[in-house]
Amino acid sequence: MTREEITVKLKDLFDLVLKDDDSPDLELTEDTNLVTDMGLSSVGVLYAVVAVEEFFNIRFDDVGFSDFSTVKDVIDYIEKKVNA
Amino acid sequence: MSSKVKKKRKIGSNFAYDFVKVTGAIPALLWFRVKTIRANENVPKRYKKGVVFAVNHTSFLDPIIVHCVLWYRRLNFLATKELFKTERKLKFFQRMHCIPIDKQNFNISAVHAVRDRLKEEKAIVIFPEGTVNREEGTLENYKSGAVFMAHMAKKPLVPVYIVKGKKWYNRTVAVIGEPIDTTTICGKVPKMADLDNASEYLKQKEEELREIYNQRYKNKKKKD
Repeated sequence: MTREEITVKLKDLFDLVLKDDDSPDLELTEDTNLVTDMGLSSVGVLYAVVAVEEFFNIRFDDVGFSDFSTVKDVIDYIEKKVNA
Repeated sequence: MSSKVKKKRKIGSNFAYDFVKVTGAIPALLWFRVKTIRANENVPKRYKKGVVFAVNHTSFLDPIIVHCVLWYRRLNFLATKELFKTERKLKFFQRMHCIPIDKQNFNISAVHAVRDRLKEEKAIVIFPEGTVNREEGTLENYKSGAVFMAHMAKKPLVPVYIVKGKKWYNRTVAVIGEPIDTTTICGKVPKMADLDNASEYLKQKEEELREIYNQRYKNKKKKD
């Protein structure tokens, strides 16, 4: 799976589980910060991680809330896991 | 062969937990004299399968009280990582079926542990307030973790409200509410906002349990 494919899938996933119905479309770039730009709480990040696990059929190792600050960190991790 | 090994390991892993629970039961029952009441007739007398209990957190002794209330189950508690500082404490609390959770840096391993245990039909106890709240009759804001974990494993979420006696000789009362099906409230694929709303709903349910306690005990005492 290429990096672009992962990014597109990740955007679809975030739209599905994180975006409110009345909020504007999410401009997802690799620099988007999960907490400051997307407004995710600690539970929100874990929810996103679990959703990513199910969507990409991977299992995250022992990672924490602070291990992912931007979308780039998430994509890097997924890329490493999917292509392992 | 493998099933025998699995069974042996299971017995061994529960021995320390059962030993502490049984030996601690007599002083705990005598001291707290916990009275358990069900909110209504729809509340099952016992929960046998995987379930998440959401309990208000009034003191550090709550895990002992919860054991008195749900005496028929082996309980798995989510506990702050600060309790696991030394190797000895780590071993002890792991044997007591506690799952360490880092409040500053929420870790996915705790989520995996909860999901795995719920899949094995075990019971999880979470204090959604996240911290001890000593103010009587109030509830802190509920964090979404309890709803999130129950929904993730598709297990019922059961509110439990504990009222400690004002004086040392007063009985402790626990009110158990109806199980909440998080999928009905949040939908199959909820958004984060839905989980937050469900947490608020859980808090409302706990407040209703407090009202039930007030109606049955406080108002009765006033009349007397």
